[in-house]
Amino acid sequence: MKSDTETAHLRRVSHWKLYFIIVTLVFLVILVLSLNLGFATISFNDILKILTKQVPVLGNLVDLSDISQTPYEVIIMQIRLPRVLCGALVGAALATAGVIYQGIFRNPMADPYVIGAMSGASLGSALVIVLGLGVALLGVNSLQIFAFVGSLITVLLVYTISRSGSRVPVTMLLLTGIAVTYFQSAIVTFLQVIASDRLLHGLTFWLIGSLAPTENWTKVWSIFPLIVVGIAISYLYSRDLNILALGEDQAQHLGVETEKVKRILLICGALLTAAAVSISGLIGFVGLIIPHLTRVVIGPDHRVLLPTAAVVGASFLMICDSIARVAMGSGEAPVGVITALTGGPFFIYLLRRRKKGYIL
Amino acid sequence: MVVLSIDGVDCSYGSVDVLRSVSFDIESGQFLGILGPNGSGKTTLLKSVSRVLKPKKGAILIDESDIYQMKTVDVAKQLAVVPQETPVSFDFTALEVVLMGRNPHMTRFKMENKNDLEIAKKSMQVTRTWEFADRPVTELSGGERQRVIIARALTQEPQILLLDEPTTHLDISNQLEIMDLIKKLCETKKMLIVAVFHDFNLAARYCDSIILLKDGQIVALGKSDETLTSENVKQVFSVDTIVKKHPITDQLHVIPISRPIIQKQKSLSIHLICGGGTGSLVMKALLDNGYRVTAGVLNLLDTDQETAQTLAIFTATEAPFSPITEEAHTANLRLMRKSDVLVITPTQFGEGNLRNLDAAEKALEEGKPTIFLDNGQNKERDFTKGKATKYIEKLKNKGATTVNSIPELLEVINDLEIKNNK
Amino acid sequence: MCMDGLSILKGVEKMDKTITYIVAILAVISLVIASYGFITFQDQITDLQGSISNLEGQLTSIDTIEGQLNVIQEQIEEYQDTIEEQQQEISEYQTVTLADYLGNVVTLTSPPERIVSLAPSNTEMLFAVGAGDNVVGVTDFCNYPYNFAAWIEAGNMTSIGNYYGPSVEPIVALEPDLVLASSGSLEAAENLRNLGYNVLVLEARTIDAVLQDILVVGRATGKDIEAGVLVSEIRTRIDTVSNQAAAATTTPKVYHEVWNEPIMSVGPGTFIEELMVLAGGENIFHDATTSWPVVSSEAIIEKNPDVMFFPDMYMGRANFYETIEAVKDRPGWNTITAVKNDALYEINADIISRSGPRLVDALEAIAKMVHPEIFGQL
Repeated sequence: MKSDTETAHLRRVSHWKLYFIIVTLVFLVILVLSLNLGFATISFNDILKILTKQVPVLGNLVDLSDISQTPYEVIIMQIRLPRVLCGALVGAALATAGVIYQGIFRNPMADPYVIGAMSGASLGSALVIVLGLGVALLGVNSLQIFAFVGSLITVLLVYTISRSGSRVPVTMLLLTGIAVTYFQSAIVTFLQVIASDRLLHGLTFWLIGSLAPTENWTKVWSIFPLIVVGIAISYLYSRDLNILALGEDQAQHLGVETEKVKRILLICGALLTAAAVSISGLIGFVGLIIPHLTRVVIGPDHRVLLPTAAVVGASFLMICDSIARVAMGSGEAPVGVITALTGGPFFIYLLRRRKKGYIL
Repeated sequence: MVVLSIDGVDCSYGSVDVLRSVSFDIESGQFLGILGPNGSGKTTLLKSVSRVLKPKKGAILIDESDIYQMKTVDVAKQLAVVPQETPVSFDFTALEVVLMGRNPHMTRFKMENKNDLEIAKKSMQVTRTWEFADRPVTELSGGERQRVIIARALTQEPQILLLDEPTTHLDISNQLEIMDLIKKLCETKKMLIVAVFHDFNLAARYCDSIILLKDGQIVALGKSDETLTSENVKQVFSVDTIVKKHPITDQLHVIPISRPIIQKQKSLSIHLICGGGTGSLVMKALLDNGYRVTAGVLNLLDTDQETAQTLAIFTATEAPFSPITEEAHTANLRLMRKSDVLVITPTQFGEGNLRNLDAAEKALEEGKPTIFLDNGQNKERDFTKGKATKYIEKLKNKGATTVNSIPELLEVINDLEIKNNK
Repeated sequence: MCMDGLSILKGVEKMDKTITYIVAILAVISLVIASYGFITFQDQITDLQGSISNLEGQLTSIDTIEGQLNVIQEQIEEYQDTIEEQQQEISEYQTVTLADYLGNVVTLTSPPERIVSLAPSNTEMLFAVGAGDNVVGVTDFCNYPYNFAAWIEAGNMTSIGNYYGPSVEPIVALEPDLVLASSGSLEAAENLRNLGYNVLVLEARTIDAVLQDILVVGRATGKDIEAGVLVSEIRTRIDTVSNQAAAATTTPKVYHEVWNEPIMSVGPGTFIEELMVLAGGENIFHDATTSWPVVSSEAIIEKNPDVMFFPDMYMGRANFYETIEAVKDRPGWNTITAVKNDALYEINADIISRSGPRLVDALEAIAKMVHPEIFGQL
């Protein structure tokens, strides 16, 4: 005969599954709706037809000949769909990285950029845009590759510098991250100063963050495996993240190999952030606030928080990018501004609604 | 049954040595307390035993296995730690925190099952935390949170429990409750318990054996009443104390006493007629001010007699609960004659000790200053059906003076001292 | 007969089949060439016959015209004398007072001999009106009409640094008697003015304004005439283009790409759009809300431009990373008219963005892109 509390606990666990399913369904709906928004006005019916056409067997039943001669199929399949998927992947990656860093650092201010991922990517991209490094070898992909490598190397550098013996104290990581970020930002600023206007324009827009360059499938495939693997591996360590909340010493007392877990999770976070930043530039706010937003609703248990935050992050960024695509007529608004303008007030509203105080 | 062995352990932070050659063994069913001043290495010792700080030299063994060679998880299955306090960064519920204690027994892909829940529930019931299982830990009071952490430690089903000043931030009722609980675990589940304490009396009350640490080395190790002596305490903490067993609880009590600034030795000796506790403070005050003090007649086991013994004051004694014999009285008179001033405290007079007032009469006849201290203690003083009161009246008429407080007494005696020195 | 034919056939079969094919193809090709040649030749013969009869007609008029020409030449010589006299008077009237678009007034009593330019456009204008000899300082970005970087290295010119926010020190060190600034050096301009230097801020945003600026530069440097001539030449060229373009029957949609990642184009209020319109075309992003909008691929596909041009500075050069071929491969772009018709061009980035005399070069290039049927192929 179970007590009320026991049943309540087990019920909560089954609620997790429910939350996750609901959030995933919402995600799918948002994905399809996002496909509807863009400069070209394509009707919902046409979109559905185009999508169905791609399905192997069903596709043959669909006739696209009555869709007007503008290349709608190409627009949907080659331009919008990869962009929307990239938005989802980037949003999921940043949100997951945010959850990881907030858990490891036990600090509500931590976001994926806190240990140098952002400045590293800016430096990499600035080197390519202003100085033309690597273009001869890597061609069109040099920007993405340099941004990715810059981001990853910086985080690894910060990790190595902070290490003393076999331990990596968390405060050291944060402080080293700050120092390295300032240093790299200074170099980027210098590069901005010596750049001519056209280069400056390009660099500035890349830094603001935009999903416009992701309108092709190469971008999707280049980051998809990294992000999926990154999220999967972090999920395996979600119980450890829970226990880390008690402090590293206590986590160790409870059998968690803290240094190993920190290392693995930091690498996952670094990979996720680097992958996201390499194709979309520096989109802010998602990595910081989506974990909090999800935690306020779902609770702090990382076993449900991590995957849910990923899906929420994906949905959120898809919505913001859709707005960015259509808000300014034929031009585009910077998506980072949209994320902050929409997310900020909503988060404040959630915080106030919650009756109990919210510590983290 | 497990044996925890600390074998020649040296620990350091960087180049600073904190522990030197620390060795001791302890078995299941024993409760060991670790005491020492700040900086003696208590917390470091606990850290090294809990597998957080690897010793430079030496080893820590559970049943012959070096814990630093074992995997973290395997150690966690046998050893649980309760720290001083636990700041929690996320608002997990109490139950969720307690369930974390099952982590060492769970593989990576498993969720908590019914069995885990049962164990957690039992631990929480034992610690009286089950009633707020669903409340976020951040909303609980310090004491409640500490009990939750203890529940979590119990959920690990450990054989060894380490506690770091587990009651420092708790109020007295919580302190006792938790310590009683831990003691019970030691006895019923035969757990091996090691706890660091700041509070002597708590340690003395609950621990079977005690280690005194100073400057990273063991100064004393053994059963509680053997280790906790005034000398040891003085050596380790540089503080003067009285260590005695409380008459009612039979527990060791360590009572710090403040060593007075050595006053210039005064010339006067004072003899006290007291008893029943009324003279203890006076004795101390007079001694602190540099006077020589004697007292009598006091029965053995009388509080003032015990104080006199502790303070090394010479007394004329009588057998417990017996009326004053001729022998004792003579001794008392002798002491009285040897002193310069006689002070009578507001002790209660019965037929048995009425004779003490004779000494006062004799003193007055010999012209010695005789002072009654009337500070309101013992309103009901006369158990001789009026004889004592009359006697005291007579003495006062004969010249005995009265003061109303110890400071006043000291003043008067001081005046006498000055006069004497001229 | 048939026997012969059959035997020939058999003989042919017996020969190697490949050789047969080759011979057949060669025969066909020769036939085609022969017929083509014959047809063109025919056309040429007809043309020649036509020209011969025209020329015979014109021979008679030539004599009359020769006589008229002589008369005109005499008149021209007279006029030239008058012009020289008047030029004398004009150049004697040397004191010049000018105001720039901010309202700052500068008075020069003689043509300046130590001019510092704070923008590449100003440098171009100075050299175009013939005042180049008096220029002593230019920016790091000035690169036309000479390789100033080499001059600076050789010590024949001084660099005053960046076009944006330059420091006043190197400018002052040159002791200039005239400084031509721009919107990127407003602070420096203010500081120099306060120090007593002659500073003009030139900031044209339309072609008309640029021509005004050229005149101002001419007046300031005592090269009024050269400036006037230059402006009227440019004006003529512009008018030629726009008049001819007016005759066009179509207004092709034009796309210019400023940057590729993210894709950035031009909106209203830019030279580039003005050039497109003068050339008889239409900027597909005329409806953008900013002058430098970031756009989506699908917007470009949807708007379906007829002509596209890219700045050569970033196409195919080591600095950047796409070639025209790569652009054609962008997903979905193969449906765009410009791509289908291979109407993708490159243009020097400097001439389309500098507010200087080369805008008209850009215009002429763009005109050829937009209306090749009128202006010829680029």
